[in-house]
Amino acid sequence: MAGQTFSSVRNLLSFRERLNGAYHAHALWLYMVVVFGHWLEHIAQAYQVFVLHWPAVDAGGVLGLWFPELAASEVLHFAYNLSLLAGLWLLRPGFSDRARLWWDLALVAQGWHFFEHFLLQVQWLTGVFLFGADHQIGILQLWIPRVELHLIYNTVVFIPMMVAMVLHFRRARREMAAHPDRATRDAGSSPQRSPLWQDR
Amino acid sequence: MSDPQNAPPAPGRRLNRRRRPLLFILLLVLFLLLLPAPAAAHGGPAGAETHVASSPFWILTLIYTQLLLAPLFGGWLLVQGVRIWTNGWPRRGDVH
Repeated sequence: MAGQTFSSVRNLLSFRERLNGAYHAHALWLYMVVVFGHWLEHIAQAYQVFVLHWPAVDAGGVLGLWFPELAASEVLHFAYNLSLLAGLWLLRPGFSDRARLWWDLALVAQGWHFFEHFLLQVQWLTGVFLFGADHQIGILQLWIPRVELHLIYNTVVFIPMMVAMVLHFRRARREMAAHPDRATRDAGSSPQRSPLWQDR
Repeated sequence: MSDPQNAPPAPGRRLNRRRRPLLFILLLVLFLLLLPAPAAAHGGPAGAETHVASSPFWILTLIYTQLLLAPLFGGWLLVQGVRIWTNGWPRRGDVH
């Protein structure tokens, strides 16, 4: 049992190392496309509520127009936020310097955001609601309603990610311009805090 | 002679360290259970408030700023995607 666990952890770390090697830029780009889409959905939902003045229960973003159950699915929100957190952790070693700092900011913010979704999920599963509420509720929902709060959460997580990615890619381009002879190497960095392109 | 810095901690101390996170979680749960509910947490269907929101200036600013940022970042992301997926982005081991 312990051996299996150890082996799984070792496989995960090995996968993480590979992900942050040759295919870091590709993995990062795919990940950011998903995150960007999710961010757009939250903006669309806020637009529906605060600009179009739809009732919050009817405002499910763009996909919610066809699949209204998506916005109300606590499991989906939980699973997405878990994968967002996992992605931040998995892709972290590929960043360095200022880009790493911004990525870490996003990681901390998403850590809290995920904790809130964890509380929501537990309440939804158990039917025991915090603060004497009659439905699941997050901690900061004591002060800010859910639509506004999760728009803020997603903004606070997404903006540092965006800054980190821009810094990371700009650095790669700069290094490519400075060392055209080394432009055959990897755009992503190694798991260590090292230059973006390395010798094989 | 044994190095005091490398000496194992006393059993009591090790136990306390292990219990600390548990104590923190228990206090947090207690805190959450004791806090009163906001008005918005009552009277609505599960997971969503039913109120039709007013539109305070700060939220409109947040929405429109993000609406402005979205095409900028989306466009930038698209350009990077084209570079990455069309060999415009170097990969380790590529030989030109």
